[in-house]
Amino acid sequence: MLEYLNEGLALITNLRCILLLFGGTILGVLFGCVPGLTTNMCLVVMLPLSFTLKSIDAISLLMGIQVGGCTGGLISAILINIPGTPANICTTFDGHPMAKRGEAERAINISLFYSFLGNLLGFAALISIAPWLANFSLKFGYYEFFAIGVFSITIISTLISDSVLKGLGSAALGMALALIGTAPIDYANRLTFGVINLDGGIQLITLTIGLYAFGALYEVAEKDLEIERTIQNTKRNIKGFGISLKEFSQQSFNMIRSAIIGIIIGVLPGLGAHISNLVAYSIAKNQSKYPEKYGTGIIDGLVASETSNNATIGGAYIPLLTLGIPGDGSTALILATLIIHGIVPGPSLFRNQGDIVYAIFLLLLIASFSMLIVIKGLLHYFISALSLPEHILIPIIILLSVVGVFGSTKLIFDIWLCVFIGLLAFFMNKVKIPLGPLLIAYVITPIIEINLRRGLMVAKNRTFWEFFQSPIFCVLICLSILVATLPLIIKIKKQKVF
Amino acid sequence: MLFQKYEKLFSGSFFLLIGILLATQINKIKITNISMDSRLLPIIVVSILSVIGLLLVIEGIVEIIKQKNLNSTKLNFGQITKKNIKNILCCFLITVLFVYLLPIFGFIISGSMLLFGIILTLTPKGKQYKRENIIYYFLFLSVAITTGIYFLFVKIFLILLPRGNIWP
Repeated sequence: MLEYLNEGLALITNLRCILLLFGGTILGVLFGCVPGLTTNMCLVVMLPLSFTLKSIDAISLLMGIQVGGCTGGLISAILINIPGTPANICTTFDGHPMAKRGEAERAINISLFYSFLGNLLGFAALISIAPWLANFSLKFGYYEFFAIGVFSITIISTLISDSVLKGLGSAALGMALALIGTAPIDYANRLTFGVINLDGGIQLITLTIGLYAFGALYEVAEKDLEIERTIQNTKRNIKGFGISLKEFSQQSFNMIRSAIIGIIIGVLPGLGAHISNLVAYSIAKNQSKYPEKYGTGIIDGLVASETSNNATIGGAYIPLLTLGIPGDGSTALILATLIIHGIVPGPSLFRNQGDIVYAIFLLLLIASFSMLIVIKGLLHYFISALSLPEHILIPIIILLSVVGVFGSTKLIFDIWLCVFIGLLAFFMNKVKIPLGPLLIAYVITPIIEINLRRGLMVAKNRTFWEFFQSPIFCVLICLSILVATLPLIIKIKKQKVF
Repeated sequence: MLFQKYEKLFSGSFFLLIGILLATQINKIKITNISMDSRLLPIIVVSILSVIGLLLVIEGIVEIIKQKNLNSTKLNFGQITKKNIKNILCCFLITVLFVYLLPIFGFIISGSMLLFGIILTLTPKGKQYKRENIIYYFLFLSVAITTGIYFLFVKIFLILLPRGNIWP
């Protein structure tokens, strides 16, 4: 192992590799912090360039983009309440209220710090338990993935602050939106209302931009805008990362729990950071002594969201390197780069190209530091740029979002969808239907459906009872029932006490 | 405000309406020989939406009846002014026009129009913004930003954006 570590270190300790890593991080942060411009889009744009580079240089560029992008999204999530990437949805819940209180810089610093720690913990998991976790993930079949989907949807109910019914309704609406288009397995057209352009369904980026960017446009249009800047950053030049030692020790359990959630979700193929931040936030809120404070601007929410979404990156590399299975969309693009450069991930990679494996581990570690340096260094510029008056900032965001949507989907129809989904989001905000459950249900529904239908097809007698033969399924379903009923039990106990 | 006062009624009706709309489409899904076919999940989702919608509507009606019986004091949620509705409608119409003109005139012209229109709509009418001077400033800003974005993404990042059908 030490021999491979030395060889890996020798591969990456050259100026070009480090500069590409930093350059990739800057690009990733810029793409991540602008709503609509996703990390995956930046990776796709840079992919052809990476083919002309040496293998390790290409990997360092793309890894910098991946790490930078995941963290860059927190900037717009906190400053303008629009998540830069779906991985930062939960960061808006507590980050933006903090920014409105004049603590924008503190919120970003804390999120940045815990993103960095999330990366480090993901890296630690990667080098220590990669093969074991990969073997564990092989035990997940149709029944288990279905149970994970149900568990995630159930947890949504803990995101709801005032009405369980509205939250479940929002989740059902998200499921309905996910069902539009071509069904899996038998490819039947569903719920398209005869519109040919809906045969491909509604893309995640279209939905996210419509809900958050276009929704924000109508919200801003309704307000009587003040002339002053909307984000009053009264606490400037924060020392360190804006968190005291006492607060850090109080958040330790939250951080480790969120990191574990992020790593496990990263390991499981098909899921990703956009799910891990929602699950980690929900569990943190569910287990907190003061759940009513979540969403008002407390650091616990930021810790859960940012630690988990960055830990997912390290987790996603585990199945990638050990089994050749990408953990999420961005690692799928990195897999393409590895294969083109003759690096074939899988069990033999550790044996035959151990130096490359350890070089990748070390690059992830250095990328964490580069992300920290880049964002800390450019923080004031980001705050200044995103503190422009809303009547100028929001239209620019809309235009960039249109670029992002069209750049991803190449369809004008998706921009039409964004306009009308924005109206839907505006109406939902008016009647206080939460948007978070809609988005997570939209993401999880395909996982639930595919695994439910395939599980039933392979089950004996095609009955649902076969699912209960899996211990992992049983554990997850029990957890789902517990999560769903626990708030009700606590509420009844409180009423009895009073 | 109307929406906030009757939010349960509105949200329940909304879910019911969506449920009914989707229910009309379920029979159009092709039946296949595969068991547990494509209609399974839509039926489940439509049922959930309808039940939740109904429950919210009932809750909303019960709340309204209770408020009338108790003669509760009117809660002051503020009013939507005519200006707010006008702004929302303007922004909506500008975005619709933008998307309609995008394939015809291309990104630069329609994007500039979008930026200019929305900035003008949202700009506060304070003393700092003297109407005569500010229009030219916003026009220049809109064209400059849109052109900059176009060249950055098309020429440098090589992302395709609509060029417009009218150009040769």
